[in-house]
Amino acid sequence: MGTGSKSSHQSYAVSPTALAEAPTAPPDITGAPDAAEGTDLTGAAAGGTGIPEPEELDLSQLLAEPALPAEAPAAEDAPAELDALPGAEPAPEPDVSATGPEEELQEASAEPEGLAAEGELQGSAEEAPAEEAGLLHADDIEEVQEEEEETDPPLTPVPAAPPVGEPTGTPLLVGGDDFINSEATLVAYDSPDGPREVLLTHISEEAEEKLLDALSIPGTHMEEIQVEEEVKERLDLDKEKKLAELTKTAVSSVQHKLKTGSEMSDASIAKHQAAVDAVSAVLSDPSISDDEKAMAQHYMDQLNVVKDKIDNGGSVMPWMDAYEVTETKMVTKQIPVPNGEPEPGTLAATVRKASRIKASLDPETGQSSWDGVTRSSANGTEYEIDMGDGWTAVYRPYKDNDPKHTEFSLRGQLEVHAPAGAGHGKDLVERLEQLHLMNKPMTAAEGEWTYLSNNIQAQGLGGAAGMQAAMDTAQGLQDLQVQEIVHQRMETLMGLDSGALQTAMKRIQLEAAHKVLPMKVEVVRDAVAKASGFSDGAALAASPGYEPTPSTSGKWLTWSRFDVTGKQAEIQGAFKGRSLTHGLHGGALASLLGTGVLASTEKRAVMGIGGGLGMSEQADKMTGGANSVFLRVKKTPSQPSGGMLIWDDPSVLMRRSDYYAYNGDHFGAINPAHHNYNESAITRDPMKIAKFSAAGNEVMFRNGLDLFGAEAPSRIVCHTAAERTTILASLASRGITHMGGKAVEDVLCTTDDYS
Amino acid sequence: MTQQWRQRFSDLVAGNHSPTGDPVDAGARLIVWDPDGTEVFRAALARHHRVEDEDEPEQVLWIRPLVGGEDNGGGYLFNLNATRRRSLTCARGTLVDDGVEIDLTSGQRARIEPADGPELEQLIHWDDFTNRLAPDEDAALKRLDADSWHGRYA
Repeated sequence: MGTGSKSSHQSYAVSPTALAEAPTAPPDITGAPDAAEGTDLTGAAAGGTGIPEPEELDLSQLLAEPALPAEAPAAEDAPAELDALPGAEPAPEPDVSATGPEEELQEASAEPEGLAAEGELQGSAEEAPAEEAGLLHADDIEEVQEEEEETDPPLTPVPAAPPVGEPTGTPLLVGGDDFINSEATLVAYDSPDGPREVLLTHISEEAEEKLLDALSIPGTHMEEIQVEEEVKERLDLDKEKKLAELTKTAVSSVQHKLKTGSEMSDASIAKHQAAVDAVSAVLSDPSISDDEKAMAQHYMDQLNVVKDKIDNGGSVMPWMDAYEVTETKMVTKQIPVPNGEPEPGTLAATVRKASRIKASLDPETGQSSWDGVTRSSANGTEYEIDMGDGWTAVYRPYKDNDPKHTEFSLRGQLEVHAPAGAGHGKDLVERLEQLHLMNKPMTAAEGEWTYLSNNIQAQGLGGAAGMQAAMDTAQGLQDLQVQEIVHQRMETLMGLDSGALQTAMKRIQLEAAHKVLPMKVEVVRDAVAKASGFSDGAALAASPGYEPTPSTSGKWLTWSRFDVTGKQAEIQGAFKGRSLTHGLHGGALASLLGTGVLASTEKRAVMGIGGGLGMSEQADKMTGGANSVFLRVKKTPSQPSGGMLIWDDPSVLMRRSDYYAYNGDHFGAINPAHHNYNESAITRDPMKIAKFSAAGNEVMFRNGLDLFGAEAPSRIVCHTAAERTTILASLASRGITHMGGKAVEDVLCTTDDYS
Repeated sequence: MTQQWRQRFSDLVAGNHSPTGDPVDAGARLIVWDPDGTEVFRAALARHHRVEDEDEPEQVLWIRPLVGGEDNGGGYLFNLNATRRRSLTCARGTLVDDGVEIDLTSGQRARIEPADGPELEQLIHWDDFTNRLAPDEDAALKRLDADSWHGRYA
């Protein structure tokens, strides 16, 4: 893999932050949960290795004996490093069992040994200024990481150029836990200027501090500017006489009678007459302009249609719009202007009202496009970040978006934008370093940590006996590793100034995290195993349901949970006679199957589906449900209505580890500050979900569902045979013959099949 | 009694209590309180509803609260994926003054009463907005069986 290539790193030299001030942040994989979604995970302290980063680092502090967890694991559980007190010789690599995943972990842990090449470091420090020492070390790390990638390749490759116009983009996993579920998506929007390549991801709340540390936000003030703009407006005379309002009132009243099949009321007739009188008065005024006359006639024509309906009834009337004229005007707008210059070595950021990419999806071609500029308004605050060389980022911070008053689902969202043109895929990931975020694709070893963390959350194991101690031990291992490295390099570190020392310490934290990860995984795997009824971690790892890699077959990356994958028959038994369902309105199936995904509100917005209306107060964005799609548990429908997606075997979805559910209507609330949220009612237990009885129950799946892959519904009920034929033809033209391994002809049915 | 509160509920939603005799001049709003008495929700209701499990002791009312909606320069529009159906699972309903109060199985209390002020204004916007819809789209909204909306206005 070339993701860590020196050449691409050198191109960042234009941005001093990247090399001198922005070392890659340590992969602090403590299992610290997302604030909202992982509150019952481990309770582990957020972020950091426990190593302070004061203005002036005191090395003697770093060498103080760390506090070991109160409940240190028994000798047979504790990796050898636990005995390696600071000042001792480096301990040998742990002698872990050689089962499949652990072999990989061992390899991963062995590779970073090169990082500790003390001689190299000392030489660098003696011959180069402090800042340069940091640079040399960064290169050393790159070399080692390149070697590491050869033996532990990324779980998801990073494409140089993501496919242009693909609405769902290319999902990938980034190492560490800076990102929720470690996931990011590369999207290349079609645009007249060439592809607009964007990295979209969701920062964990714990990682925000690192990101903010990379920024300089001097504050902004608003300045007024005059811009020429085309505006559509009603004429002043229309507004004065309220002709549009009077006409609309008459239309609505009569339309209501037509829709409900009720008789025209005196009130409807009176409303029509009032509008006619007002319009007639304008028309009969000889002093009005031609424009005004056209306007009044426009309304009179509409009112004549209304009169016909009053007299004769019939079908509902077509939409009648107000009369507007287009004018070019000078419009005053307010723009944010920074109050000062950014601090040296940081990225300049300006504060503005939150927004979202306003993409659009062509229903004919299925291509997403975006001009790189147009955005829809959102309820919250965001930072626009200048990354240099035409690169920008947009971040919507947790700290400035109070979940009580702003959209919960936007908190932590990050966009990184490349200059127009193709081929920035790898740079989009690497540029995360400028934001002090992890910037390497996830390896298998890191993947198992994410898998275990997700399973702890999904299975509610955070409070299980021994789990907290295991997390503390894992953290303690990392702290010990940091101290061991510090001790080894004390002579070198003592010669560095404060800035270089901080940089070096961040590198050491990264190195320690890499080195200790396999041991941390082993400790936590063992605790998870015992909490879930296995004798030890080896037994768990050997069990058939243990799948510590994400599912990448579909358009989403999802992690499984071993309590379901290992007990599929039990889950199917619990759901016997019950299905998961999602209903769509008439005509929606074709467009839905055009994209092949049932996507969340947030995903739909960036795909270019919906969100085009610029709504800023959508309820699910406030509850946080906008990051998920929801299904309902129902008795298996024997006479399903049209537009229904049915999963008759819910175990295909229950194997995911990212769902939560309510046996009632809570609007998918995951925002603790929202009134719909109910901590005691929320569940992630598939056996409880199988017994849901309330009609308004909800099961939320993050991002969405892949309708063609392994998560495909077993039945898709079309309203008519014609709709089914159209959809089958569309699928055939795209070469889609199967959904979830089942022939599309068997999945697509009609309501007539059940009559 | 069940029939009485259900009929009142139906009349309020339809706007049959209109003082002008024209249902479009009236409508209903929903207010929900948490068990501690805190008001947690208030919105106008679209003019349709559906009762599920009529024979069950706990009845489910499907409704459409009119959340969101704004004038973005092209008229007042609603995002139909946001203005989605919601359910009220009713433990007990009673007639109160000019409205209906429902004890929800969640422990919350709901009140459906004549809309006025901003909620009535929102309902008028909604009536106007639905005039933009094709008959099949309008009918789909009234069925209250869709969980998400795709296509126009989503």
